[in-house]
Amino acid sequence: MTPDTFERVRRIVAKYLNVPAESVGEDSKLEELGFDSLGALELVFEIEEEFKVSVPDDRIPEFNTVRAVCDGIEALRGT
Amino acid sequence: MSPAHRVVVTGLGQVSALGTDVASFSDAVFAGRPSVRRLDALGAPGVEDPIGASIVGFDPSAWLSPRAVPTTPRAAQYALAAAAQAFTAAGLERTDRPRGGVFVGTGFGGIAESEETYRACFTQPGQRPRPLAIPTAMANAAAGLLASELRLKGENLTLTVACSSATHAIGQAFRLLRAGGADLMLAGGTDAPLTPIVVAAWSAMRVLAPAGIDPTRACRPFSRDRQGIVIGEGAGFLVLETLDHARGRGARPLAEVVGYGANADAGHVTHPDLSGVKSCMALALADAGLGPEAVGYVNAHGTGTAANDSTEARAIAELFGAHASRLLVSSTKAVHGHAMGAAGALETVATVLALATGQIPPTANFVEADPDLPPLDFVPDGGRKAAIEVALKSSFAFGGNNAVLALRRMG
Repeated sequence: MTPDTFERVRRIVAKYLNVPAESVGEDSKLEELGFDSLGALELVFEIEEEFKVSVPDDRIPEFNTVRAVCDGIEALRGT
Repeated sequence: MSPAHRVVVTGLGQVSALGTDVASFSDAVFAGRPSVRRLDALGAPGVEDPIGASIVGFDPSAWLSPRAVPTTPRAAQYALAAAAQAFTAAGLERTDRPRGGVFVGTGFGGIAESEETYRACFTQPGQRPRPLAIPTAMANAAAGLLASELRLKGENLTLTVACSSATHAIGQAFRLLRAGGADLMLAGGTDAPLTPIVVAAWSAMRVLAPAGIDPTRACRPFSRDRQGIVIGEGAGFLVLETLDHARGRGARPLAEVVGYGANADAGHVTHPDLSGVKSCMALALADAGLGPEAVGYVNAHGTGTAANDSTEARAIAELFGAHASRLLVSSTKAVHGHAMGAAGALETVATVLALATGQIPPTANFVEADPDLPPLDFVPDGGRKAAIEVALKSSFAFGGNNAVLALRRMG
């Protein structure tokens, strides 16, 4: 997980939750932050737009922490 | 069959161009003070100088968690604000109610959100609809939100019947309560139709009043110089409950719903039909077991178009006969605009206030009687004091659809 990926994901998460970016940590759990199933779909949508990736349906359940999201994006981008 | 229950109104709430509480609505409606403005930034294609009775200064985060605001459609935000006011005014707590339901009228549902989705996807290469495009566009978004926020777990329906939507929602809730199918219903309507395409489409039908020098003078129901509709927006909700339920919890009824008429012209899609409109008022009176002479006030549909106002005035004159000269008839649409699917709810709120306070709202902007209309008392600017017993609230819709409620003052 690069600092750049983390910052960009953190910004998306914070914007969706309407909270300061500093309140979103690397190991924050998305469910505990307040994402429900529909919120998770919105997050995936924003990530796809931001990083120009396509997240397969079967990878979405793995996106349960901010770190997992960042690692998943980097794996999809091959970085 | 068990005996019919009496149905009373115990709470009111509204959001409109007149403000975001019932007090500001009441002040403007009874003073005949319109809130209509130019919408310079609307961007409605082909519409020069658009106007509307638009809501200004509405803060959805007063009613919704800030996180939910961006993903909640505008019409549902209005609905929650109005419904929560009505709930609080009725003295209700947000506890699970299996016998409490929600009936919402809406003409346009999530059209504001749909237009944004279409705009983005059709104009920006590669843009896809967002995951929330469906739940924010669906017509029943408001009904679902009200149930979950106010914990109403009974029947939950959305009625989309163009401009008579909210009146039907209230009427159907009345029927359900009367038959014993629920203890308590939140009923009303919501609409957010001041969008670029909706305004442009109404303009294409050539029924919108031009802005003129003073947009607050644009809508002139029943007046000889009437020139069309001013579109409004907002939501109105009523808490209806059986009289037994209201008494059981010590609630104070504001008025009683005593009748509901619903029918179809089975005629032209947009042109109102005199016999359909007249029959619908007669149905509401028959449902209430009342004769025409019992009625003191009609809160008219009164859109300000040549066709509606002429047809409606003639229907009233024919139905009420000699009693028509003693009847007070007014339209409050000049003041809050035509709020489409929410119109009947805002106007039922006005009618309940009229019954409860003995004040009759004026037809604002009425300046001159139309010699082609029957000479009814349209309550020209200023309003009137009159302790009326029974009032009718009429709404007529494209599709040839009519709805009329009969309401009675609490003794």
